[in-house]
Amino acid sequence: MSATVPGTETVTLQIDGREITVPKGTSLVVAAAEHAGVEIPVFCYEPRLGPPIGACRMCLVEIEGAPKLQAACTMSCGDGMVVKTAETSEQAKDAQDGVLEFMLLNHPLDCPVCDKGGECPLQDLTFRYGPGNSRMTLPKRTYEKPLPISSSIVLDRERCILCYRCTRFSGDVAEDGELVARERGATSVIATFDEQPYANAFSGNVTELCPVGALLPTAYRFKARPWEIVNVPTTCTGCATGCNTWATLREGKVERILSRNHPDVDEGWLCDKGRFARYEPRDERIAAPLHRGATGLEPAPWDEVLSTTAKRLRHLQATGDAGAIAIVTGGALTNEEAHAWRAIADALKARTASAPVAANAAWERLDAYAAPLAAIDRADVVVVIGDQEPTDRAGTIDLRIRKARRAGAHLAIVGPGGTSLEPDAGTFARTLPGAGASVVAALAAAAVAVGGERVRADAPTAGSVESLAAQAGAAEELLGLLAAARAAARRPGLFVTDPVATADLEALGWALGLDAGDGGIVPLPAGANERGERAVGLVGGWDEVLAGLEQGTVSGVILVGCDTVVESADGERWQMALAQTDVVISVAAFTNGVTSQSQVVLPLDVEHEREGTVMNLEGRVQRVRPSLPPISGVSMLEWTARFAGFLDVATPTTAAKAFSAIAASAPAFAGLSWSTLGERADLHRTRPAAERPAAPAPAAPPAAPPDGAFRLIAPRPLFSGAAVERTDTLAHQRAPYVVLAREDAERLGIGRGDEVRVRHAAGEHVGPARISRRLVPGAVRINWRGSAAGTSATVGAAG
Amino acid sequence: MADLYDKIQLEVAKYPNRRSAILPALRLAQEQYGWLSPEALESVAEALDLSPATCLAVASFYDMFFLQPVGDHVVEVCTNLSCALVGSDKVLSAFEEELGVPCGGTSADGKITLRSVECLGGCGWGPVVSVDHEYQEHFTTEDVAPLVAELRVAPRHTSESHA
Amino acid sequence: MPEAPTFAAPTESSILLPFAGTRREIAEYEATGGYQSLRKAVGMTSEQLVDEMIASNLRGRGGAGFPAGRKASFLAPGEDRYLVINGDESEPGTFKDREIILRNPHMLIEGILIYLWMIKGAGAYIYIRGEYAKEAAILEGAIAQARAAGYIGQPLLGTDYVPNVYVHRGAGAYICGEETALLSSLNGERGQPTAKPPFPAVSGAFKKPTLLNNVETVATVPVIIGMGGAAYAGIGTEQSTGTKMFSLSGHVRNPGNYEMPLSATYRDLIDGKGGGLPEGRTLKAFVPGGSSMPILMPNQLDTGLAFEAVVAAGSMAGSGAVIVVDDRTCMVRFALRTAEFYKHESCGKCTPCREGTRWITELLRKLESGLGTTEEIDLLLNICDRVEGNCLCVLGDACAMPVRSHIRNFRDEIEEPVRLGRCPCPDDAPMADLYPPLLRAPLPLVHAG
Repeated sequence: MSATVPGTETVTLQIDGREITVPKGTSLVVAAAEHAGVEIPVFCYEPRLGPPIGACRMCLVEIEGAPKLQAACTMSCGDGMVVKTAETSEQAKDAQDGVLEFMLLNHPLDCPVCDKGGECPLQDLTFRYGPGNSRMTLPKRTYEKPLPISSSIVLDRERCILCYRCTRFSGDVAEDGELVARERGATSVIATFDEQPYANAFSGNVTELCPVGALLPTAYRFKARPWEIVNVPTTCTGCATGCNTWATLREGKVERILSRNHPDVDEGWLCDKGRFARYEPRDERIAAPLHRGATGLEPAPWDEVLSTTAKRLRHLQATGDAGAIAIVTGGALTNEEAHAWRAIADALKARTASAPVAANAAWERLDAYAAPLAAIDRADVVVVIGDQEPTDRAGTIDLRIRKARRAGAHLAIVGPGGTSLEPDAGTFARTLPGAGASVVAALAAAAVAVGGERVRADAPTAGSVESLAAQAGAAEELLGLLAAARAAARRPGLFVTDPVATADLEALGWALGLDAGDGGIVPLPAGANERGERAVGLVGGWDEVLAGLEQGTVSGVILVGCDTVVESADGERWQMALAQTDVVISVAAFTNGVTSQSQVVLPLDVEHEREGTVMNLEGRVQRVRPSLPPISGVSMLEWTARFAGFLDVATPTTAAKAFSAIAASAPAFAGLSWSTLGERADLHRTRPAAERPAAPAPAAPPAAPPDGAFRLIAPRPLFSGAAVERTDTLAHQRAPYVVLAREDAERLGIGRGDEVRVRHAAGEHVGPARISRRLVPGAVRINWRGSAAGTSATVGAAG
Repeated sequence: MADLYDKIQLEVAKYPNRRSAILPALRLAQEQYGWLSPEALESVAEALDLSPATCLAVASFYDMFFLQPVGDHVVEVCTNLSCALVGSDKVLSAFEEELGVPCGGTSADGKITLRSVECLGGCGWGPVVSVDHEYQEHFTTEDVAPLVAELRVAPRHTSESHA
Repeated sequence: MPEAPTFAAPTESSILLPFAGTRREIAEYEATGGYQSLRKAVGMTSEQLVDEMIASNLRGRGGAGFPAGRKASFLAPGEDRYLVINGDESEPGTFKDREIILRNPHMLIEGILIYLWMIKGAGAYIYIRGEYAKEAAILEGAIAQARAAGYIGQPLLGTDYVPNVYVHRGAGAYICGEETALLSSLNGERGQPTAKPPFPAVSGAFKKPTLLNNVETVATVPVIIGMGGAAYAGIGTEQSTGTKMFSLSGHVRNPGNYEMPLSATYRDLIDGKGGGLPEGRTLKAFVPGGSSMPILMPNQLDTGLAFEAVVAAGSMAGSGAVIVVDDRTCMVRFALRTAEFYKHESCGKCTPCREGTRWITELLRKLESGLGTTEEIDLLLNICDRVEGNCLCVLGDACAMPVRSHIRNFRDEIEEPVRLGRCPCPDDAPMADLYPPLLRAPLPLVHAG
């Protein structure tokens, strides 16, 4: 007998003579495996893809009283059911033999040269079940192979058993509908449209879902046999979601990333950036300390560089005001590395900056309202406000938003349009680009104006509803949305992707009473460990440092793992400011926009090279583990300790010690210990009681662009950054495109797919046109590699 | 094309969700383009806010959508049991001879595509030949040459209206 | 130019089509009592209507023969419930729904409106197979007339219920006659069956509770409401009440649709209405209910048309499509042609059907070409066993059951090409041109996706 959760309705049934009691609604496949210890083999069954489809027929079982065999995957356990699996039913065994024989009829049985071999469900289940021979006397079906369905993935149609896992992922999880089955019956094949690449941001998941060797990551083909590899559990640091991963290590190289399903974080999904982007080639990396000599940046011994640098900074500190030195980070550090830099900042009386805009990054202000990721699944209303798709900020969140919508949540999109969540949204309220801040203010004010039991009577207001909503260009939709939210939003989820001051979000959270239940605001930091860096004390924004540089109050800057020239919306200003700054030191993986202006450049350890922890957007602290040695042979924790030594302070040289120090000093880490973080970290939320915030300042509506110019929408895309730009297999993901409103395209005589040139302050972007019927006219949306938001652009046909 | 977009929206209005209008939308696109070229599928995708691949997946499931170019006229001979028992195999052979192409092909002048199809639901009145989706029943080998001659000079069907 | 179909004259038992020619105009239909059953129904409650249906013991006319009244009683409650009418009629040999639509479209519309009233449906969708272009246009015309006459799109006969009826055309896929596949197709998906549960009565059209019935079933409802369920139940047999349309085709003098009381026999249909086989030919076998059903032999001609009678004879009544096969017909080709069809129509979703129908077909093709072995004939039977009952829907069964019956009933004839190394049939035998000996296509080696 198995244990059951008290208070849930249960049913008692028999599987292969064993009586078990399971919660009502349990799938027979799951019940058999988890409660009766009987494996019912499956291929198509995968609960993360939605309701079972009963396609592969591998799980046929005999159920007493049923006229024929039943697929266990589509059966729920019933009280009194008597089930015989192939273990005990000859009829089921014969059917299962038949299914496996059918499945292998046209399969090439090329296991010796198949990358899936050794970790292949088809191979394993054929070994354990099935007849062991085939009676096929006819030629097998053959196809052209392998077929690249993108630069990341190859398809082998002969190996495919048409279980439809991949197409269900594309259609029902990612909802892109780009990877489909075409034709019918025995001629069905998996395909994309017109040989176009499968370009969904989450496409790589199909390589893990595929139970045979039909969909394989291009980069891993013929790379390793399963017995030669080591899988290291770690956490993706591509963005602030913190998806749990395995790094597949073979002979000193990370060859593959797999999901390591954390149900509360990633549900076993990864984005293609996390899965495929690599900081390679390693020989192009900055692998030693460099200082600028007569011929440019030249390698030099660690101690010489560190001691000289310490001296120069001490000198600056002595001659300048407090805060004359700035340490600028961007979420690329581990908490432990950040802790070391905090100590160095203290020693130098330096100011710090860990987020692009200080006002938008006071995440702890939102702690009373913040919702964990898993709460999105339970949301009644999901509101996305801003120019950017949540995907671009935090990849797999997109999949959760879609899942919530499929489960019945009302999805409201408030933005300028042209994103992929709009078609199925319950509400699409179109605004001008850059209107997120004024929309948030309008929402807060409208929530108060509309009133109701869930709106706090003492909520602060900012301006009149009508004027602000009108400025946002979406008054009616907005109020309708609010009414719906108020009516149903016991469990709302609110995403804001535009730069919006956290104080304004706090006011909205207060007005809507989002501190109840799970909370309702899901903050989306720009940097992967931005929250962690801030939590250990690296507070402040790049905008403040930039102002200091321009005003001359900051004369020395250390840029650690951030390229403010590319990643900031003020890249041009950064470039000019750095050129006039006395001391510029950068820590980087590759030469970039700031290393070229630095006197000293130090090597940055990146993913798979570091031991430590990171904090995701929820505040969850998770381990990152090294698979590779530090690029220079010396870890950042070691050389920062050395550097700190030259500044007469001591910092821990191991992650474990550093973590203990953090846990003892930083409130967000209170109660955590290195040894108990575990493989699937819990969320230790610190949820203070909500306090009445100050009324936000009325938000200014977006400024009008110059005559004839377009409003530019160019938030930093998911597929950007040093690793993405160097990963060949992501070429199709970063391929440029230009989204134009239909009215503008018609006016300019631009058709779908025509090359379009967009000139803007940060540069020039050329790509094929996508025509949108939702994008607000007068705006142009591009996937510019950097951040160029809030500027204007000119648009014209290229060539 | 804009008018196709608008026509599709009229179909969308008949259903509680836009996706259900995919078959009428594909039919309209095929009428306009002659076959479901990538461009035609992209137009349907745009009008229904679906991916072009989704439109392809659905279109390729059904026998009545052409994913390759066809002639101005499509002649389909039912070769299922009831028609085959009463001589549709001979009718099909006669078409092949008259048109000079094997079943599945298009006559050299690009006018007529010949296909064999499964049961059209005219079993008691066979052999059944469907010409541009209009049934001709009790079709005999003698009817082949006159029909081909007629179709060779007839313009392409652009509407399926039979009312 | 070939002639339009000639409709069979009404039989003595005609209650669905008791007239010659067509009644497409609403005025004609109303002049002969049309839409009076609807008026009667509107005076009844949903429960009364369901009870009347149950009393009639009407069994679904689509193929499975499920009691229509009970089916209606299963519909889950809900705000938006839909009625879907299955007019996909694609089972080879079947053309009866088409005749109802061609001749008496308003009877179908009236049945739809009674059903809609019964369930207070949010709308009705007539899923008609794509090839029936003319029939779809006739239905559209009939709906327009019914709308103009005030039956559709406005409060129904003084009530506050507003019925809406739409025509949804398929696009050429036999599988869409299967109820869950039809609903997938209506929902804009590939027309593939889905696992049950959820049943359509809970989640069907547009994921809402849906009642799905065949054209003939729905068209019979005005008759039942008009004459009363009990009176209707007095026709036919106890378990198979009423009259039913039978589609007669193949080697018979007078093919066509015949409305027969379900107490009649296949002999009544084939020899009586159909006039028997053409001069000089003898009956070899007959398909009793569409090509997916096991064939019956000449000594089974006196089998009743009733559902239970056909089951007792080892087959099923299915859609009521009767295909008569004469003595010149090669049963290897007959089996091959049957299997080819189901292979062509397999949706590809579940493994046994997708792979099994292909394997069965290609083995039969090999046999027909004289290259097969007796072991492969036994293998065929085993494949049929492993397909039947193990698939997601019944399409796999629809291939396995008839092929098994062809082999079992004509084992000697099936083995003959093995012995001779070629098909022994003469060039003028039926279907000879489909399988020409000289142009015999090699087995497909490459499929270009």
